[in-house]
Amino acid sequence: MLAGLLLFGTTGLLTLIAMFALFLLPAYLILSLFDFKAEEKLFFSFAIGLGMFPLVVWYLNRIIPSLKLSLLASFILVVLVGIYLRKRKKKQG
Amino acid sequence: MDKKDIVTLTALFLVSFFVWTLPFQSNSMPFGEGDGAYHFAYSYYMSSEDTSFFYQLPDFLHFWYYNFNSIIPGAPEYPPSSHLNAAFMQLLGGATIPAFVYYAITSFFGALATYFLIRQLFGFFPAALAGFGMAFSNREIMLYLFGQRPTITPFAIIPITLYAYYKFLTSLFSENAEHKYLYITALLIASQFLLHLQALLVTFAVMAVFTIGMLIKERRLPLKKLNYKHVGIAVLLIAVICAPFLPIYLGEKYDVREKPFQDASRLFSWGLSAEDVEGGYPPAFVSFSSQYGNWLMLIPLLIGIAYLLIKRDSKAVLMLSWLLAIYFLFHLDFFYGTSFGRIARMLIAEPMLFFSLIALGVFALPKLVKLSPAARSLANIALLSLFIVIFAFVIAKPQYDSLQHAYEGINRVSPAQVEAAKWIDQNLPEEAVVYNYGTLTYGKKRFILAFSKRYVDNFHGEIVDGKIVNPAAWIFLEEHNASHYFMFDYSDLAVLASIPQYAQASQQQAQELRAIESTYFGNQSLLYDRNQIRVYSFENK
Repeated sequence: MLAGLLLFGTTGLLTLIAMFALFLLPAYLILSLFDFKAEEKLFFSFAIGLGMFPLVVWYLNRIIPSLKLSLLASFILVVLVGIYLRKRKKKQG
Repeated sequence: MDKKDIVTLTALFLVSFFVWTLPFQSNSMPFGEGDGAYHFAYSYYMSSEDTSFFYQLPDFLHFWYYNFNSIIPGAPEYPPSSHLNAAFMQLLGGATIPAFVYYAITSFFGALATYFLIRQLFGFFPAALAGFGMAFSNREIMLYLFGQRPTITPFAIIPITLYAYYKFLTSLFSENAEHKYLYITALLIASQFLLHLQALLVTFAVMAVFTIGMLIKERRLPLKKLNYKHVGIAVLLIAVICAPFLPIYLGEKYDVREKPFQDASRLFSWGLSAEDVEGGYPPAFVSFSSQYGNWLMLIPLLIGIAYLLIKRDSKAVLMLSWLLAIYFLFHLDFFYGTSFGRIARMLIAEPMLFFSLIALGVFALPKLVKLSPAARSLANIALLSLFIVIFAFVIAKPQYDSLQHAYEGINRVSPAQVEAAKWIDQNLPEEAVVYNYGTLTYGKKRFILAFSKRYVDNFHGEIVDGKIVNPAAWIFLEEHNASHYFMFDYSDLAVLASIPQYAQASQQQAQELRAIESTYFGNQSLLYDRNQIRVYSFENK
């Protein structure tokens, strides 16, 4: 994040945060439910997130007539799904 | 993942991030050839219009490769993922830098992914060296600079997909089958499909050869361990995710070169020659020395292959399968009649493998001598340091220079041109076609297209008796009832005129443009006149 900030100011910082939040975090939360090594989770999440997360936005954008709002809704949706699945798994023991 | 991995991955990321973002650290204007502008236009349109394409491109993008898709005319050429990702960045932080940061990271991601695969299979030292080599890979950097950025990302994912499949397939031959890796493989395949199809061919080819290789190695079918329910669900998962976008790829009009099985001598060469890619790519794109620093790198590469042939364990079978698979794909012109242009794009499947083989060859050397663990560790550190220094001079330095000086000066679209393009966006009708005179390069004209969201191109037609006669290929102009505009851009010529060696030629060209302008546009409406750029509307009589 610091690299983004140093080279491109707040734009760079926000871009790196956005990439982390959109492409890595949601898939990481979901993959954390399974018994993967940390580095596996990290690489699988990013590679899957790059292809899959925009698909969620694309589908939501068919219903929500704004890409920006679809992006926000998709992010909230996938993070909530991740958190819900984690909680459910914890409950199950 | 231990401290060593965290430090190495962080260092790889930081070095790559700094180097790959060099082209836009001091100039935030977008860069690239026509393809770069094409991809930029997709994401810029979506972010600025706050929408995404649903099987139909806006006219200005559809005109570019008119009716390219035979199933859905006007369909996008790609599934939405790559361009939407760039559009998200643009929505969050602005048109150029955020999108280019995204493209830089997803283009050098192959270095990190190579580190990941080799680290998991062969340990730290070869992984660090292969990852460092990949951070300065000539072919990826060239495609990144030219603008074929969405193509690179799914190639960068190949090592991760292969790792997941390796874990799944080898688990079938062990005590416990690990179907979770099957699902990850399925999701990674779907992700590659959604980003760009071409890399998926490589993934499938390697997976097929690896499966055959493992069956030969183990001499048995692991059917008892295979849970068909899981396989069925994984296949269904891929089908459900990918099916809606199949018409995008199936409708594509392929350019098959000629009949297959023509020139058997091709089988005795590795990739493509400079002549094969002439006009499409520079000779450096296919040159071994430009890619790996020196022909001497063949030695560790061959040692790496020999090491794997001697080892012949599952990991070796995976790497050798990769080698065999890309040999087959690089000769698709012979086996299938595929054009060299398409094969050339596939050449970026090679560096991840070859840098890994070179690294394996280098670190196979201490294994030839009987050493104590401490001495071996020291030898590995010495070899890693030595080869990083060698790579820094013979591979990294030239790439650093090309990134630092990429698209300098008037080779990049200028703020004045972007301003004119944005004026066009605000003031001309959507079906407007803008004929451009004077802008220096094809790539820049296409970036004007991207920013203006109107079809901008050279004028290929003629003006006869006050009427535009366009070539037959531009049928879309009539079909879409386009209105015609002309842009006279003297801004690049003015810059050239200030450089002594170009002064005379650029002044002469400016005169020629002025002659065209005064002959045909004296009676036409001048709509825009700023920064040495003029836009006229043309009434087609």
